[in-house]
Amino acid sequence: MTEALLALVPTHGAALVAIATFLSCLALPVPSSLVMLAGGAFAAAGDLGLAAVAGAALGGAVAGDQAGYALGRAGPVRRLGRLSPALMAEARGRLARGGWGAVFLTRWLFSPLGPWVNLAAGMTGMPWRRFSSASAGGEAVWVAIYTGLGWIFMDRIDALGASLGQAAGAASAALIAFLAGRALLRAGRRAARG
Amino acid sequence: MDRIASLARALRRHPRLAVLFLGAVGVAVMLGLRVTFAPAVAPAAVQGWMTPGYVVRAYGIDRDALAALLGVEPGSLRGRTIAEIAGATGRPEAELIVAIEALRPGPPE
Repeated sequence: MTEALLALVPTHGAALVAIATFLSCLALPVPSSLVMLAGGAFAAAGDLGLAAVAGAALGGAVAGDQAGYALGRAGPVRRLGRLSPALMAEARGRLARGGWGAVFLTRWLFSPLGPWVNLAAGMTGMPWRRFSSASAGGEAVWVAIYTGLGWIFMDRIDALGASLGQAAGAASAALIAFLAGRALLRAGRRAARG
Repeated sequence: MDRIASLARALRRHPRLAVLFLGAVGVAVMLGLRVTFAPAVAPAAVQGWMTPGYVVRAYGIDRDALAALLGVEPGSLRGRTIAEIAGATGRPEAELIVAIEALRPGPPE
């Protein structure tokens, strides 16, 4: 499966990279990180242009973020928020306070959470300009890291893709554990006071 | 100690949050260990998804020698994989890979 995907990158080039990053920003299980690493590696090999690969990856990712945000704003998804008004109010408050950082960091450091933050940003009505600037900045970092590492470590992109995916998963799980742990501690303190 | 007691109390009172917390800790530790103890190594052999440019750069194979083996001008096979080239020239992929492997420079003496 991985080898079949890697074989598609030099033949389909930037278009494949753009489609992969677009779909992954909508939470579809597309190995976009591996495709970007391969794009960087085949650019180093002279098969593809680095600027074309990086531009396509960035364009696809930003378009995917915008699609996720628009989906969150759309009526049917937004109405899901009514199921838990308290949770929505909490999310709205958090995104209003630290929304730019949350969107920026979930593009690359906690990337598995990115598509869900897109939906949440749309659902809670995070200002579009704020969302878009954080999305573009974060995606630029994501694209630079992955295409750059693909270029530098071109002889081991397959294994590197697996390692980076696991590292992003570990970072995201650690963040969730931290937030859940903090919520538990606060609940414990409230109960002790009450 | 206060913190631990608070956390233990909260774990009992909020089972769903507790499952989320413990599950996330477990996943973070498992993935963290896998990243730490499974270093990214290069594939030992040339593979069909690689392009001539890729094997030249990744394995230090001489560009002209590879072009001669494939019967083309150096740099004229940009964007085509070894599997595609094997198919187009009617050579078995495994046989072509063995021939390319033979061009790899040996370890320094």
